[in-house]
Amino acid sequence: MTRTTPSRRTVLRAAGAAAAGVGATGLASCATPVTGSGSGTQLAYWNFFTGGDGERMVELVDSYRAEAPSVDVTATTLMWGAPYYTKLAMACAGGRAPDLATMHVSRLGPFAAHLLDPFDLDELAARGITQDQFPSRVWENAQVDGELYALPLDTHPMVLYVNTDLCSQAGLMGDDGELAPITSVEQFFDAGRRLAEVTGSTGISWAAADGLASWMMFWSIFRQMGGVMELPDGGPAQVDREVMTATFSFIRDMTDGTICSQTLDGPAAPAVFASQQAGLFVLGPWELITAETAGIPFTMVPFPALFGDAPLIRADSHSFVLPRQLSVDPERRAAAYDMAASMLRNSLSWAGGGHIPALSAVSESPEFLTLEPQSNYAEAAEFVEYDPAAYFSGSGSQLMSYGGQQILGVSTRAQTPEQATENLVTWLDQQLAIPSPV
Amino acid sequence: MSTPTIPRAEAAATTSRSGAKVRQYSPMGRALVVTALIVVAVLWLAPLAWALITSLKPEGETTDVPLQLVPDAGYTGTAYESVLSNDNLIRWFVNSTFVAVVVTALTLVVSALAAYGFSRCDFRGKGLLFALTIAGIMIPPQILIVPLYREVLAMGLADTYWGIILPQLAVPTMVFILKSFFDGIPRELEEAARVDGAGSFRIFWQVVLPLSRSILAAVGIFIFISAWNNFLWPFIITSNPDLMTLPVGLVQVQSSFGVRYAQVMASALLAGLPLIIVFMLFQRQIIRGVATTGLGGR
Amino acid sequence: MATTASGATVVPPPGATQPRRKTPSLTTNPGGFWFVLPFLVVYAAFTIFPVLYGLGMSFFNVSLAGAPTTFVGVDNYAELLGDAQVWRTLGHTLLFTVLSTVPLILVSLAMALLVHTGVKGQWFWRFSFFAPYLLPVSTVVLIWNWLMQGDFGFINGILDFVGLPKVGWLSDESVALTSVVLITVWWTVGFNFLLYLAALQAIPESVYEAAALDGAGGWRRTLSITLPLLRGTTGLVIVLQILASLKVFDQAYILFNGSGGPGGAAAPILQYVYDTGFVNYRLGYASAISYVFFALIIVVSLGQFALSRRRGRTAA
Repeated sequence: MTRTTPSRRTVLRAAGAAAAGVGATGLASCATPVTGSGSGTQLAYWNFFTGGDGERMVELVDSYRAEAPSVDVTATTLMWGAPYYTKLAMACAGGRAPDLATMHVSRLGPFAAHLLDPFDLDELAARGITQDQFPSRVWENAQVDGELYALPLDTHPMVLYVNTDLCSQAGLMGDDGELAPITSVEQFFDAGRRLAEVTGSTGISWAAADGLASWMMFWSIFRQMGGVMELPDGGPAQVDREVMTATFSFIRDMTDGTICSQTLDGPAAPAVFASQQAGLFVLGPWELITAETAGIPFTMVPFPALFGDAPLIRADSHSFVLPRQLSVDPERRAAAYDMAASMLRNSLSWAGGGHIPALSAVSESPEFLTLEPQSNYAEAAEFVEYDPAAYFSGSGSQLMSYGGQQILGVSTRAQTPEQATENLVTWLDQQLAIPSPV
Repeated sequence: MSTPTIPRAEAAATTSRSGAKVRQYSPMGRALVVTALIVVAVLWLAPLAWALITSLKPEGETTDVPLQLVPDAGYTGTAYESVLSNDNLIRWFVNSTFVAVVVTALTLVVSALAAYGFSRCDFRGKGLLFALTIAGIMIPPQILIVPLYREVLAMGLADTYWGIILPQLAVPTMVFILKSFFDGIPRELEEAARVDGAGSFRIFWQVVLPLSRSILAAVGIFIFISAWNNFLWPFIITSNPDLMTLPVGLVQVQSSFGVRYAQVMASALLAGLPLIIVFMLFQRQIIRGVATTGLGGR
Repeated sequence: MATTASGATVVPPPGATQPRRKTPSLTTNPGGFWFVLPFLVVYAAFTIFPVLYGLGMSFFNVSLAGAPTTFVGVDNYAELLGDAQVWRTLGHTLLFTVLSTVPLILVSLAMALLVHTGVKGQWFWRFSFFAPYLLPVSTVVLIWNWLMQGDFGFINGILDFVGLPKVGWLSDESVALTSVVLITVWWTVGFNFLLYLAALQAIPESVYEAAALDGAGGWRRTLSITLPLLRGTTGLVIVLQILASLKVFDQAYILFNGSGGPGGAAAPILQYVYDTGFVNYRLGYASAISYVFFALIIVVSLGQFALSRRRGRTAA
């Protein structure tokens, strides 16, 4: 152990010197981490968009960069869902959050109270953004305790993708070349069966094994049946058990292996539709590009009212939020407002991905109204049903994940609708009994 | 806890690897051994080889089925070009290097000083403090993430280099290993120095440390490897992509353009390369480090 | 904690009895406390304090999302006893430990025995088996996630090629944890391999020479001499491996993007701690779960301690 060769000594000494060098430069930059170049205002923006949405988000960011060349925007894309919201919450709690971030309106609950700053309506008005430009349902849901915490960019309701070719073979198209109105469960199921005959497999593509897809369907049907779910702190959950059981029964009846598969997962569902193995497909509008790329004859319509009169549809909105920071730099904050406003104004290109722009100046513009098939379902924004308010609900939340497991259990016949209701209500009560961390 | 291996490993380091033993196997047995080695080596290298092949394919051909060794369009370096032209990977590389170097240097200094204090000095409460230190070997850092996060947050160090570095510096195992080593150094040298009037620190610096170079190197390399590869703590304490280390950034930050496998494989391999090079340079020290100290079990 | 050790003085105050000090000789140096101090400061700040702080937190509701902290007594621990997810993830952790420890020991032993035969290319074999250990976990998992893709992954491609059915490495609930085990074995076996190799090389040639005189051939020698001599190392490797496997988080988290795998089938308990504390904002409850896990680690560590003491005695 005591014998050291000269060569090793030299190497170690060199390594030590190198370490000291790196240490010195690194320490110097400790206070302000290396961020992009440029002398202007720095602006950090976080989002979770990849794929088609990611590309259009890059366009939106680039158009703001063109508008404000003096602002140096660093856009970061983190992993969708729970990992994103975890990082965002931790960044806010640490006080070094980005200047602007994307968020689902349904996830505002746990964030608004302590982790975000509300928008200043005057600042927004100064940039031409006012309340009357948004659908009232969307605007309401972006508020917490009377303050606007989220600036909605879009609405993305559950929609029905229609393969016009297969549907006309199945005799489902009306004389006007549109899908004939579907107004009841029987009609919907019948459409599925007739399409199954045409495709030789299933009629309707719907991902029972994907929490997001299955929860969208569940919540839409539950609300259409008039179901109410209130989740007060401390519990118990106020739930229409009968309606919930009826909703689970609907899911079971639909997933008979002919109308709908019992086990389709998230990536497979759009693929089944794209390969014409199903004539209808139920999900949010963001798979528009998948269908376009596949080159199949298709259109998109609002998901119909199968129960009741109003086509209540589960939806969510992407929005911009202002994470709370230890110290707010007025210039950066102003740039954050500018950037959010700019992206809202330019959201026509965002609509290319299927989302309905929240800003009426865009959603009522002639350019948008000529967009097919987006304009077909734009009216759905009036009927959107957001998830019940709780700290554990919303897109990519625990509720979605646990609810999704119950739905899958019903569709695979692992449990009865009654058991699923019992499980879900018990779980809700447990969650509510736990003191809320918000 | 890992003392039993020390003498054995010392022997291992000096044992010559003569080819004498192999002669005692029959030609048949030897063929079996070689075949088995080749099979295992192929199994162990195949994942890396496939990652390398994927990284050299044009993006459009990575997901071709059935698998193709050579893409129709031939190999290309475009994935590496786009990965290296992206600021992120370079920045994370710098962050990782900086964090690992500082952690290594500071941990070595702090541990060596403490080990010497425990080994050679006497002061009130030493027994208690040493017991407390040894008890720390049983505390897995993983169970501390929640309180440590709150603590570092309260110190205002979340999303800073020091927030990443400081909690990694207290490693009781290192103190224990170094103390065991110092215990084995004959005291005569130090006593001679003391007679010459040297103070404790000078003795430590001028007599003990030079004798300990090789164990410090072995321990240091291991601290470096684990700091470079540390995932959990940097993952918890950094949200700002500019501050992330390589392992964290690689899996947290996505491409806006969706998963591109050639690029993913290229950046994964590039992130692994530095330590592979370190290994090639310091193979003997690393192997001895593992053997001597039993460090770094994952 | 360190405040009781008050200073650098080594001269005992008059009248103080110091039975442990045999000779106040040159063999002890003054100023010892100052040597230990820097370590004690970081150790106290970043290990001792969080241990106590975390224990304290486990009796409170502490929110990541900023809600006020409230004292809840042992409620968190009571909740934990009835929380199926705690036991499920603990079960995954224990299952992972068993499933990974066995191959990590057998494979590494086989590798070491093969390499120790002394066939040519020592450097290459060692490099091949140990190199994965040097890779960051993210590199390892990104590569394996790619290899394990269902439709166009390398492994399923090979299975398909030889006429075997494809496996849902990342999508099948019953396979997900095994996938994590496979990755872990590939990644970390090199470490145990080196421990074994060092132990093998430490066996004196004379032992073998004696056996050779007795006419024992290579294989018989391995069985009758080598393996028994490796018993001590195997004990050490088992204990280190169990402790390491219990702490599984990184691979499982990254492989499934934090989802815990299909149906949560591959979520270890540390991931539940992470999810509870950071994803669901309940830091107090997460602390309580950490402590249950800590208790488990302590039990295993004490087992290790007892084992190594017994081994030390038999060796002496």
